[in-house]
Amino acid sequence: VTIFDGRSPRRRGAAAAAAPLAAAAADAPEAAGAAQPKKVSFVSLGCPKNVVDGEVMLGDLERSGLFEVTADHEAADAIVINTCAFVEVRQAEQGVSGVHARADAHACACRRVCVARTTPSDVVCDVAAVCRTPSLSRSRCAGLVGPRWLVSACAAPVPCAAVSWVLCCAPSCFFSGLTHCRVVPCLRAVRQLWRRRA
Amino acid sequence: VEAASLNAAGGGKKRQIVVTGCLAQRYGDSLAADLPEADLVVGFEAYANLPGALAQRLGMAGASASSGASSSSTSSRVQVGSATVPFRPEAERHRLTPRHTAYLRVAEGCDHKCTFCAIPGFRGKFRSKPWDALLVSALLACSLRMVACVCMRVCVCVLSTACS
Repeated sequence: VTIFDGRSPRRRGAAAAAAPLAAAAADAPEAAGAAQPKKVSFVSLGCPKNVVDGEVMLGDLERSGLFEVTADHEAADAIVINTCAFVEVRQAEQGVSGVHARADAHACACRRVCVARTTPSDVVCDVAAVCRTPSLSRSRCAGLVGPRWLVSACAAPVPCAAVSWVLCCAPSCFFSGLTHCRVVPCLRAVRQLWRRRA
Repeated sequence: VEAASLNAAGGGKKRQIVVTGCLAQRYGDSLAADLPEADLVVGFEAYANLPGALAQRLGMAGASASSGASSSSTSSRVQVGSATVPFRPEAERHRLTPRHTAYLRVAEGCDHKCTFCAIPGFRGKFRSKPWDALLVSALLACSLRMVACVCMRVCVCVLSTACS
């Protein structure tokens, strides 16, 4: 299964994990009138909740006997995009790249842009910044905030054991008082931390 | 857009582009209008009908049999319903995470009305997953080294499993 990280596709070894369901799907064409199952590829751009939704969705597709999951988008008959944001499109439209640049300049890494977590008004994007340094100053954090932006999560690198609260604001973060900052999931940052620890 | 470019690249193969997730749930109609490349825009309530809807779009035999819903409900391009949907069985699923770890959804939705957050608007009211369903999922996850409990208000709670 290919997961786009917003810039480039990443291949993941999901074939082995799919083996039990793949076996069931292999028997299913007979029940579906001996038709060849169509291939479905999947793009997961969302948070862990969306990942669970996507996994259940793919399970449904396989159990129907009409579809099999493939990692090859070109070979697929259908591409399911499970997302909370069209990252690149929104980046282009809303100038998120500029925010990224500023974040990088301040040793921060904006890991995720999610239009889903917005105020209901014209604030259209929400930048979850995972800071590389715990010494992020208030002024630097404030520098990330434009009139239409809300930087909602700044987290210092944490050990794996504390990864559950990886999105808590750093103590020095301007937004540390906003306790709900931490509910912004940052799956990619978590994965990277896990990989780094591994 | 990237997926749709595969269709534009030629080869004569028309791939169906299905958009799901929070964006589809929240902006279903406007998303469909803005993205003509999307063949289906599916919200949470219609996830269970996705195999039937997709089979119908692909003109597959057995499409009606695979869909528990009426053909009218699976034929529309935008299928977005209520945000507060009941839990579906999540034990049997196609895993996307590494083999040693899995997400275990323990709850869904949120009742808070934070001004900076729109999640309650499209993820619905807070509801805990029924214990029995949670237990089944957890038991299936016992072979894993790590289970991450997730819901809207608990971002990620990592549990190391030690089941034998």
